[in-house]
Amino acid sequence: MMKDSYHRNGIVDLHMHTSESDGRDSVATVVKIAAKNKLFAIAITDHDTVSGIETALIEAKKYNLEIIPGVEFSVSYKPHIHILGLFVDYQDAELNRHLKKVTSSRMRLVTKAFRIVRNNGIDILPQQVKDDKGYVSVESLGEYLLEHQLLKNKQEMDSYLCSVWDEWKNCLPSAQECIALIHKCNGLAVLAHAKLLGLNDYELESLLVELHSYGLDGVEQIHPKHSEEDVKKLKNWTDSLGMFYSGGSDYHGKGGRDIMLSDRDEKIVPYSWVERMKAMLGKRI
Amino acid sequence: MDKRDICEKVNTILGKVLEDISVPDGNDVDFSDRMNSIEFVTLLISIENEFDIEIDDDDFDMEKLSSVNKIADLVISYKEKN
Repeated sequence: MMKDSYHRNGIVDLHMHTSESDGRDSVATVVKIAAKNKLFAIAITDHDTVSGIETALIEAKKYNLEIIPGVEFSVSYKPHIHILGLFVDYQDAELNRHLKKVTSSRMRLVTKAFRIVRNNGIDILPQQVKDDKGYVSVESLGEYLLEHQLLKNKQEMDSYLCSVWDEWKNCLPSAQECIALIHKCNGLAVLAHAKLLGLNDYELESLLVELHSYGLDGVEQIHPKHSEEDVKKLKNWTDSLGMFYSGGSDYHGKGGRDIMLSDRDEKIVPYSWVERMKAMLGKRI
Repeated sequence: MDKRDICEKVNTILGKVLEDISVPDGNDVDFSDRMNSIEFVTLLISIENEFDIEIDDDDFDMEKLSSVNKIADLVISYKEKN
């Protein structure tokens, strides 16, 4: 087989997390597993941080694996959405300023959430949440409290943590701001796991039209939580708007979503999708 | 509680947060580059719990709290305020 056509048919994974955000595995481990799974390219897309990219680029040289610098942005919207920035210039000063601000807000709010819980008589240490859930966040704290029956139900949890959620939403960029920032640092903007937003078909199609009007470039079709039916619908909407497809495992390591895409899967993301993205970036220059 | 006791407790917490892999070998050693943001939060919450203080938003800065001595000084200043 010619090298080019082999490359084109190679498998990629364009949505992966490491311990730089809420993943369980270090960057080096994620890169190593990706190489073992015979992936051709992976995008490291940690939540609101690019701190793992440099290490990923260094580690990937050992395996001849292509790293696509990425980040998964938290975006204020109804509902709260995630937008992936792929091929971003991870050293861009404005990007790093934005991410530092969001990280700082996240740290402050996680601490506030623990404080609220403690002031309501529930004595819990972050280490307990970390040992049980693998990472410490407002979400994992909420899950821990419910799973260990320290709270009666989700309503009680929301009543404790609603002020934290509201403050969090206020710290985040709008979809327009996020897409503009991704483009400013030469990246492509992709809506992540669209079918997890809990929208009906009409609402989701409207969302895609709106985000496209702000410059959204692509939609994540392949995702572990997307059914075949979901993929078909997303493909139709994406095609009609002239955007590209993306896909990935949303890998979080053992204990989270722990199956990376590989050449053994039915759902695969071919390297040709990456080539299409690169062609799109090339046209922009 | 004197500063030495506070430093000892901070070191114990730090050992748990960093899982003893990269614990600094001195109270003035800057450990900010060994810690990601979640570990930093874990450290701060553990400090709040241990010393029964609430750290102000203005002090939420990894650079301000990057060594055992800096954290101990902060704890002492909060204890004095109370």
